[in-house]
Amino acid sequence: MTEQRSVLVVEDEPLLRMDIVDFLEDAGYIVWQAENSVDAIDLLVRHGEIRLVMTDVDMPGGMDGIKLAAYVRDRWPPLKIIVVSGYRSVATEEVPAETRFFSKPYDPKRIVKTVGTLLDES
Amino acid sequence: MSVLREPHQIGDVIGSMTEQTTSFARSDGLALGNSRTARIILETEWSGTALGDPRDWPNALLVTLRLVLNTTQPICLWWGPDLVNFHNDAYEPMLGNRKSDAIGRRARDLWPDVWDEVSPLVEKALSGEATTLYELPLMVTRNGYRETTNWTFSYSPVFDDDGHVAGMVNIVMEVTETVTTRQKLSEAYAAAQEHIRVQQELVEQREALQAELSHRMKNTVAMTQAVVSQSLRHAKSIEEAVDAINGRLVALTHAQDLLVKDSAQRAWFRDVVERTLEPHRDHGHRFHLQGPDVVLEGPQALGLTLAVHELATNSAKYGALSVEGGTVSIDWSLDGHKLSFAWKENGGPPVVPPSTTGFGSRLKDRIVPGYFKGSGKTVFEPDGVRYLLTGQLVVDETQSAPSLQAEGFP
Repeated sequence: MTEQRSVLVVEDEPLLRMDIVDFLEDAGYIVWQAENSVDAIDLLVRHGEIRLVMTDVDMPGGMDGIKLAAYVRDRWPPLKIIVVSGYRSVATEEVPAETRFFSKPYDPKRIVKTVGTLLDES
Repeated sequence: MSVLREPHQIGDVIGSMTEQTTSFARSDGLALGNSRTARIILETEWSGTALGDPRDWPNALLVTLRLVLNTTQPICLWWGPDLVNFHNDAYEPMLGNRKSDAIGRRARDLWPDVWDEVSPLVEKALSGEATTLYELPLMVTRNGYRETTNWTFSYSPVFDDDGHVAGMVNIVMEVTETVTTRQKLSEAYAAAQEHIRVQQELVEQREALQAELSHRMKNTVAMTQAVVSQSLRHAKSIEEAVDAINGRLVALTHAQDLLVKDSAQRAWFRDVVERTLEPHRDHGHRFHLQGPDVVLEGPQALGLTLAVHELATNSAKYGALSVEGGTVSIDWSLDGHKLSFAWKENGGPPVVPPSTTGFGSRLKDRIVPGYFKGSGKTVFEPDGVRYLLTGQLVVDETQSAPSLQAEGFP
């Protein structure tokens, strides 16, 4: 397993988080999990090998997925970002450039494929 | 008004007026015209009044009177130191029931109810300065009751034969109806605006509701997708997967039933447990539930449902619920926001710990604790399975006291 294949899933719904984590692990990624933005940032600080963040938009606490995506792009510009939301469509201008957006419910295999594509680009 | 008619009609009117005026001039010598008010003036006995015999009236008064009486715009003329009232036919409606004795009365006696308000303007006119006011509101008692009226008028000085101010004319238009109509239109406009605002608010509420419903539906489908995906992933056969998926989705649906009863998507802890256990309640002594009234937010209610469903399903296969006399004690407690839940089986067959762990175990011991930011543990005690879940109760501070009604299971 190379460092490039470490990804972080940020999702407050445990069952959904577990499911996408399983799919990503099956595809060979090292997957870190966080249930909110604060934990996500903590993991990113401690694990510089993480290359991609997949985050839900609608999360409790002061920082939702949109703000987390902006923060990640600002602090760790090379990181790839995937944003998912069940609440609303996210406009292109709301998220950093080159961010991929998926509507919930999503096809886990498409997420896995997109993660692969993004990491291959880097 | 008549000048707007056809040319030949204008000629008729002018011809008729000339004839009448000439005829009148011949008969009374004052040439006041043929109006109703002119006749009243002629029939009035003036010799005992301050104005005296009309034949001695100053030329300026007569000229002004002729102008006033033969004008179709409402005008009144107040003449002399006493401001004796004259008016034309057009002015009569404004007098209401005062018109019967208005000719020759002092202006201040004719209009006592508004005199304080108009007298400064009268003084101004008598000093030689004209005034025009638009839509002046005046409370008037002219028909036996006080009413709000509006007037657009000009007070102008009238000069005697020597060039001194000897009176004033009030050329007036009552605009009460115009003002009233405009006020009503304004009120109707404001009401229409309010109606539009309320409609817009309703549309926004409906859109927000639709967005919320869409959000919930997507989350429900996403949950269903994860349940199906996880069940299939860990099943040993399609049949087992089908049974597991059906059981879990039915349990989640029951929990959703409870949640939709409350606009804030909450449910009582006891109701969630009772509803999930319902398919396994074959007699009244299976379950012993004990715990305080606790309200669960939607996600935690769904998490608890999944755990209780797995426990009950396993128990029905291998544990206390698989035998006639088996029972389950379910206890929960709340200490501040710290929540504890315990499931303990009794009276079942001897417990044999499973050799492998499936999705059910993972759900109970790893996934469900995630809803409570805590931990879950299944202990295979010889006399019956024990499951402990501890964590934090999520409280939405923005919600008021629960409006939920307990289900009241038997």
